[in-house]
Amino acid sequence: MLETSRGSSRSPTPDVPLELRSRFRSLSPRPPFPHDLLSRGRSTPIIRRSQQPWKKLLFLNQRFPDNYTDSSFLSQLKRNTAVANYSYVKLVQDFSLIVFYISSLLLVVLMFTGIYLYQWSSMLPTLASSVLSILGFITLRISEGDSRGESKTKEKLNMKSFILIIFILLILSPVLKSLTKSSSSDSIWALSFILCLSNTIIYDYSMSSTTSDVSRHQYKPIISTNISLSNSIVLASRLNSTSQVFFFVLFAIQMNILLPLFDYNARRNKLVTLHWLVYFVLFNLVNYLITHLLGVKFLLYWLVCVIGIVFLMPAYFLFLQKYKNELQGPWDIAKPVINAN
Amino acid sequence: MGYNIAMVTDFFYPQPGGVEFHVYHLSQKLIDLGHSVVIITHDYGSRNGVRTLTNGLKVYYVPLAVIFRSSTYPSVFSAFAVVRNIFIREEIDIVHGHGSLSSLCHEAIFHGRTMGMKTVFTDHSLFGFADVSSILGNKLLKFSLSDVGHVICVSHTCKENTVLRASIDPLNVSVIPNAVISKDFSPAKDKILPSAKTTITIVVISRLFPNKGADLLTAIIPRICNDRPEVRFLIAGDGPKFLDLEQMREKYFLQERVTLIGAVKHEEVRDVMVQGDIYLHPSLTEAFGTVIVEAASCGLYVVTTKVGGIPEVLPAHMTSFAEPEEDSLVSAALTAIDLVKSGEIETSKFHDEVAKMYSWANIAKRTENVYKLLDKTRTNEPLFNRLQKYYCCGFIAGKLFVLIVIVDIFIYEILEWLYPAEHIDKATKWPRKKLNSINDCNDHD
Repeated sequence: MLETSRGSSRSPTPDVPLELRSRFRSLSPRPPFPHDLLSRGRSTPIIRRSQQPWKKLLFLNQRFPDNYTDSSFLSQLKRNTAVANYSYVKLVQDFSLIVFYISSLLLVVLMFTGIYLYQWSSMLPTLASSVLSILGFITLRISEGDSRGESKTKEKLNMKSFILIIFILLILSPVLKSLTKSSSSDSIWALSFILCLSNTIIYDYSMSSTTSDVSRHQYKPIISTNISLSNSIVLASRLNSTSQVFFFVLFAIQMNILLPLFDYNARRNKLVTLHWLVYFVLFNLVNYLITHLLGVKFLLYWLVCVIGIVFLMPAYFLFLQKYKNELQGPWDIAKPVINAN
Repeated sequence: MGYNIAMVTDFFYPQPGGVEFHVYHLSQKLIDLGHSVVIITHDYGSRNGVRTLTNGLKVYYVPLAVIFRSSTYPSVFSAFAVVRNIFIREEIDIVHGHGSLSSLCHEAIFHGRTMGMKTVFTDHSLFGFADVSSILGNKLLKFSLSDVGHVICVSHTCKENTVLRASIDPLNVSVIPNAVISKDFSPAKDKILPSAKTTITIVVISRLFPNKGADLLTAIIPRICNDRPEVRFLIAGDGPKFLDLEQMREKYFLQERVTLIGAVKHEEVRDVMVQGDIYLHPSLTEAFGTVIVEAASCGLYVVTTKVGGIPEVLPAHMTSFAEPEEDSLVSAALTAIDLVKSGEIETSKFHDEVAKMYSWANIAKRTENVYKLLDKTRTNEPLFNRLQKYYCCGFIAGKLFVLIVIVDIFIYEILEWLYPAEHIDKATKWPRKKLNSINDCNDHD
């Protein structure tokens, strides 16, 4: 047994995670590996203490036991290198986008409640939202400027698809009206609830809590767009007249698909005031409708939820950061750096 | 007295690969040392039942459901009956499992411990800590290695990784590398010196996957070809990135200079390698990197990325290291081309040097040392100590693990009652070689 190999029973480097160290303690220290040096085909006598230092190399026939643990063990371990520092204010801003999207979903549901239970006209809100949509579209166009060459053709394409969708809706509204005649209303409410819930979870909130740069992000909420549309169709199929169906689905598309898209573009183009203005109007409209249709009690529930999402969740998120324990080292898959050409 | 060893892994012939290769050659050399070895793996299609390979190496192809990349379904208990039967039939002393992703290996180690056997585990791969699959995999590894006798890793980096993943004592982990059969990777007999040739051929043999650095490869080939008109590329291997390489070749009009051969069998690798002067290895992760040892053994200068265990594998005069970055890899390759062309690098001695560094006989001897160590240290501890080790694995997981261990003991008792050990026939052993005849077979591996 070599004298130097006893050195291997030393405690591991201080970098070793706590969890690991606590398990070491639970194990009784084991004597070093009884490595028979002659068994490696060596016949030269080994001189004690004049050994070469251990090297982290496999091709050398080193005079150390195979389970030798050097003091450099885990020296390349890095912990929490890629951890971002979050600011609470920025997190609150990001989390507020969740409330914005839920508000837009709620608005459609509340409008449906009004039309279905209290026979509100479905035309007026739709006309108002259409006018606002067109105004918003123009605002974005102006703010973006016509620096892009393809903007003319793109606009034409946009108008074309806009008109196409309206006509398809018009044609389909009688079909949609009788779509779920055979199902009971309860199943429709349940279905709508599930769709809204999954929509809230799946939606691409396009937040970026570390950098303020949202321009690189690709905004493609494909699944939630489909869910929003399904939700509006499912709800509309409960309405009584074809025109109601048409106006309601159009309203729902504008509120759940175009409005988030508009808001995303506003944020991307750094129109902060516009974003907060739209946010303020939408949020208060929802608050008003809740009070009007459901009463103050539900408004209170809703506001508690909003405070929870906007203020408490970011705080909880920050609190959880201290448990972060990222381990990185040479064993990780390297990220290749390839020059863009 | 030789041991009766059971190598357990999901990965074995007819499937090709690093673990398969390791298990086979290690077993052969252990048989040469006078031990008796059986291999337990799952069935490969029509290949099931018991087969006997060279030197009486018996392979049990156990019919088990395969779910992903030839790993069996991790059902914890399902293989116990058949594994116990084999262990008793073959009078196994040591259960040696291979491969973190092999659930059969973990199951066998776990049941082996329940039956009071000595266990060894060899880890062949590196895993991160960040993604969901690694987190689950690491938890399972922690479970199966809680009570294992000893762990073997193929490189020091792999050891660090395994110690962290499974939270085990580093002294319980030995580093024993892979090896190559040097006579299968001999340089070309009538090799023309690169300085006498008009072209320099760079060989790449790799499965073309993103984690093997296929994107880096696609990016650097046109740049190297542009800078050094004498360079030719020979690329073997198939994978999802094959199309990218073909497109690159067409985009830069390199059909004449870049040859894509597609997948090659392991026995053909040497014939491809000897056609080249430089071996390029752009991988992004590698526990050991047997292929660069094989390339060096064939007399090629190796240009490789400095990732995973690769820096430990070859000495500096055989390799040139680069960061896994396009610019770094290009400049390393260009320097290597110039050095090889000018004849400054003498590759003719590589083969003999590598043969001295890595031989299976040495690996088997060192593995045998691990087995001997198990003899000395572990007598069976009381059950309470065993349970305590599992209990430390985590707040919820610990309790779950303890439950599994207890259930396993019950199943063992039921099996003992249903199929008593004395009713199981003992297999006739292949005639053992004389012990320690390794000195005779040392030279001709």
